Amino acid sequence: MLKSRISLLIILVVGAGLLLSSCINKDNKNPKGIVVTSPEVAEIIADLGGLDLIIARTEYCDYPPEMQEIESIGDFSSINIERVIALKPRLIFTAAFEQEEFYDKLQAFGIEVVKIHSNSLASYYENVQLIADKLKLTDKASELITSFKHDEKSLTLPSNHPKVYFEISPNLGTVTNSSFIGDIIIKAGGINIFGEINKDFLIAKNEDIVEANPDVIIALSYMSKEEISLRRGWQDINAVKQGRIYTVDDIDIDTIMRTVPRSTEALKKFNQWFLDYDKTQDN
Amino acid sequence: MTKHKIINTYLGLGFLLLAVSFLYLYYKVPSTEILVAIRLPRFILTLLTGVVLASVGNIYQMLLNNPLAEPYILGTSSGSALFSITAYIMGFTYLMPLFGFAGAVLAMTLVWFIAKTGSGINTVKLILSGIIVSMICSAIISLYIYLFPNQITIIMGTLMGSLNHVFTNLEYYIFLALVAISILLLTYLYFLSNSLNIISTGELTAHSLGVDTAKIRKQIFVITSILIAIVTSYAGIIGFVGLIIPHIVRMICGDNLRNNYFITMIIGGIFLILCDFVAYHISPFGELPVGIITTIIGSFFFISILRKRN
Repeated sequence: MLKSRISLLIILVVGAGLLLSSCINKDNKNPKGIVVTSPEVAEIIADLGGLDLIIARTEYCDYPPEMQEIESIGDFSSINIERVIALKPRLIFTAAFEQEEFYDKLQAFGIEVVKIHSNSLASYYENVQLIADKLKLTDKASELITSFKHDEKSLTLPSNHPKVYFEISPNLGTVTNSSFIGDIIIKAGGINIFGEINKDFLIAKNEDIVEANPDVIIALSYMSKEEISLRRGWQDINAVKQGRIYTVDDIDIDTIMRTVPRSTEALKKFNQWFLDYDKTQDN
Repeated sequence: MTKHKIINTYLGLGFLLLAVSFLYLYYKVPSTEILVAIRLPRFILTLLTGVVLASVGNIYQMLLNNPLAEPYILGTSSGSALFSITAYIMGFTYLMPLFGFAGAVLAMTLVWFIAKTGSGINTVKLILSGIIVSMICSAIISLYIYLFPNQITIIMGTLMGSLNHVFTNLEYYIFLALVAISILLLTYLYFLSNSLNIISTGELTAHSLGVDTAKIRKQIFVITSILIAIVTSYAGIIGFVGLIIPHIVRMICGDNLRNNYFITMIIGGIFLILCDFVAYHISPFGELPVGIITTIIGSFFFISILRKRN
């Protein structure tokens, strides 16, 4: 009796083990797959034609819409590390800043992790090339880069460069020339009033903005034009007097907050706004 | 303190306040327009915040007979911050002080309810429940960062405390009206200081001297909640001022609230103006969160006074 019970137990344990291991194997169905936690990298990969290589993404990796059918393993600043490891991806792409910590953690598990952060158009081109090399999708890469470069070259630059204040948060957070947005402002023909400062992001002083007297304000801080033009002391700012305030209503915010092929739209829009300013100067 | 000494103290403090205000307003100011439109509102906000935090801290410490009592530790600041951020996220920017008041009252009531025992208020329990309520509110505020990532800088600004509120004209006039209300409430609190002195000697004594402790507590509870709500809805949670300024003043001027009430107020204002001055000018571009400076300067100053007293 006892013997048969023991053998039954052994059979059960082995059976359960087999069942469990087959479950784990299911997770591993795509050993060639990659995991992307950075929304902009996800978008670049899709544009390179590698959407089917992605086996997991994060919540904000939402473009193109087909991306949203892929399994999500967290939001921008926290991800389910256990799930990522269970998926056994061959490669993981992360962003910088908040995602810096997954980079360290995931690398410790022996998975190749690539951190992508573009702080200028030049580094964006390099990164597209790097992603394409990693995924062996190089044909499409040169096409993407050439078309962006073409758009960049075909811009007409304003002869009077407007001074630009770019706002990313209502407490006057802004960017400098050493950020991607800052570079887009330069390439579109503007002069960032905080461009020369030696870090990529800062909380500006209210009085510094008023004193710099920008000609164009691009405020992607979810403030309305009215709210911005009614700020105390801002009535004397050129951009406010001439109504050159552009907000999230005027541009798809993802085209400038992400460094992606779509960013060419932002570049063209900024250039158009700066040219509009230029026209009033000649008259 | 003798009358003569008190007059001298007030004269000295008045002079110091003037000097500090002048420095704050005029140091490297680019133009008169900027002085009036941008620096003056910030100056008033900073002064009011320092004054309110120090006086409310002072009153809490007396009322509860507990050296740790202050608006942040008792949960009032956090409750108020949570509700005013909620108002902001819902798009009711102008209603932030009102929501803040509701939050402050709610947090205080909750703290009171948890700490209440049969015979009255247990002050140790009060501080503990204050810390718990404060943590709950901060946790919910942190949760907002995940739910509303677009608002992250405003939420962080509230949590860390910052005086760089950008006013529109309408907002500024509403704020000035609230400043007037605050001055009235602070004056009213002064007239309660005699009763508070008596309450701080113990509930029994107070009753036998004919002080209605329950009524006074309720009044103070509502008035301080309004004051804290006004301040936190504009400046967020600035810790430490409410805790250390009253202690420093009491070490120098003694425990009598009638004597130290206005001194605490003025020193609170001077202290925060100085801290914000440093936070504003320490870096050639941008600014630091003022909470960092209040904690660093305040704690060193506090330690040195504490050591001297020993």
